[in-house]
Amino acid sequence: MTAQALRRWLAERVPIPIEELRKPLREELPVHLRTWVGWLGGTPLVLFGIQVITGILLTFYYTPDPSRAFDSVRRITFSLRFGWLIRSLHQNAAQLMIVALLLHMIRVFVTRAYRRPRELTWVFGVGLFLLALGFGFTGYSLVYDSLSYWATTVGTNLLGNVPVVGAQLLWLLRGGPEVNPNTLSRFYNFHIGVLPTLMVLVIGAHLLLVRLHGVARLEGDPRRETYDFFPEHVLREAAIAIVLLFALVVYATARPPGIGEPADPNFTPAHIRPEWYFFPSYRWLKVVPMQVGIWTSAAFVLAMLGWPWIDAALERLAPGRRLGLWLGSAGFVFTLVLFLWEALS
Amino acid sequence: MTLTAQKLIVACLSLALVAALFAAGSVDARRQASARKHADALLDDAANPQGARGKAVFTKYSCNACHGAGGAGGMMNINAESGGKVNGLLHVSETYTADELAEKIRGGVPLVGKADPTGPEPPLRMPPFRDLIAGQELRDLVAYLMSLRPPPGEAKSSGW
Amino acid sequence: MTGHEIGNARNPSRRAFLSNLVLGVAATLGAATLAQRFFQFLSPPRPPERVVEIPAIALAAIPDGGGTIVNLPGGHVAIERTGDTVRAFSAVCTHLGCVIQWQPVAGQAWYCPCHHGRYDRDGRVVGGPPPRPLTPIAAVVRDGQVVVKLTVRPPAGTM
Repeated sequence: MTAQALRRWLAERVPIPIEELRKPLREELPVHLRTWVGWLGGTPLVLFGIQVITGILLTFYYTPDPSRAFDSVRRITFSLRFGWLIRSLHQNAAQLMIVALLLHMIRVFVTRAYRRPRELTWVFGVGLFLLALGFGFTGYSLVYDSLSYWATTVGTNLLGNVPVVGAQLLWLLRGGPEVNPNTLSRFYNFHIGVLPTLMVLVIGAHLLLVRLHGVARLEGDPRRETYDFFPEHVLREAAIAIVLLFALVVYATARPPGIGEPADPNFTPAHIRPEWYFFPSYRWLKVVPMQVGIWTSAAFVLAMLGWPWIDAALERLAPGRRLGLWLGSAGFVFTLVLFLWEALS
Repeated sequence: MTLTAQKLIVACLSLALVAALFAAGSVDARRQASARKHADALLDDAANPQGARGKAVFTKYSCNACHGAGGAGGMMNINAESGGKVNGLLHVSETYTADELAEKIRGGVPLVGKADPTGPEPPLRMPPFRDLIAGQELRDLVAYLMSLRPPPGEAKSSGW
Repeated sequence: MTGHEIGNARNPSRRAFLSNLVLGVAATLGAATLAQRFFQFLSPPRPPERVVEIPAIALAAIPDGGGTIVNLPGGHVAIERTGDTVRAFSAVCTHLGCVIQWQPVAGQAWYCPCHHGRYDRDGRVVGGPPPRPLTPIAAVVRDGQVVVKLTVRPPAGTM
């Protein structure tokens, strides 16, 4: 049977409109995206792919049971072939994913690519960032060594301070009054079931909107030229993916991961700290009264989600003054200061 | 940059990734070796359960504090006839029968011989363990000590 | 992946073909090495083994002329007693791995409930589907204890 005949046979039985499917690859991108910041949108997706693969591999050995979780992580890290590499990839690709998301958000913020009609693309994007934070928090708790256990206790306790519904929320999240066996299976489920499902759906919505709208042209950029999504843009994304993988493998080899002491519910070690991406909120909640901290944090997240409309309102208020840029930058610098404050103390 | 150049760059990056993955093999080999050693030690204990219990007795009564981890010896004991150090225990099976060794543990060494008869009294001596270690614990400890062997290739040391 | 798609590029000049080929080979190598690491992770290393003498059961616990199954760290062991001597077999049926039972009737000593495999006191097959006799295990009586030689591995999850 010739290739031609085979293709015809297949096309008849699986009638996929190949030409339709090729269309997204024929996307043409504005030339300003050719600079390296323009590649940042695809990077979190690449890293998410790494997370999915390494994450599935880790579930083969990880046991979400308080008495066995630590030992299963230790086994992955020290006994199984290349378990240390896979765990390190999973751990550090997560960090890079947060970094890439932040850089992408900063890029979109500065170029104001979120303006009408692309507000919802931005909203989904912020949603993805929040989901990534959720992944980080639940994933960190799964290791079940001393630091991870207590960071989980402290982190979930914060939620208990939310007015009115806090206690309910806490009970729901932990599956009981304190961190208990339910908590671990629930966090595991969030980490490998609920959050990935939401993540895939929101990524789909985000990408769909990006494609339907086309990439926003740069404000005040007179150039009308475009370049191909495929193969040029894809090649660049591939280059980034491989460079990141290379860096992750080299880092893992140079500093193979270890593991702390097993979690002991009766002993709180010194220097409990969340992962670095929670530093700003962690510091903020330490310096202001609890209720103020919770309300302002909620307001901050809402402001991020509603930023396209806030920016538009500010623009109407004082056209051409770029109030939004100043306000957003102030918010960013403020967050950065909180981050450094926590990081350096 | 031409498309061809871009493709070649991506190809080079892929090959660099291959090299990094091969380099990672050395770390993996190291971790595998130590995992195997750990598993071997567990099997040793399974093959010699009495010895494993005796090893626990050895550390429970802090024998290792003077005689060293695994009875390898080494604690300083100035002017002791055994080379100014507390004896190691790797050679006891060549010097004692099990019963003699048990008696030695029960009685201790109240007087440590001096290397230099005119020198000071060696500060460390072995207390009698008569009232502490007895019965099954003593039998396990003796079985453990009698199973100790010097590492292969080491010349027979002086002393025990 | 990428290389394959690029192989179908619309512009099949020699230069493009060669660069696609190089890219395809390099990308395949990279993906294959990564996949190999992942597969190595998925197949746990074979743990070390050691042949160990294990006290299985007191001789007095087996009636003279009788047999019993003992569950030990190295597996299920079938032990039969004749006076002061014992014989032992692996209690795993050679057919499909069920655990046999002591059931002495008419020339049969051991019986496998799964598919009616039957063995005599020497472990020979006397009926049913088992393809091979039972695997013998070295056993002696020491201080009134039946001691068997078994191959043991470290506890599950150690490696």
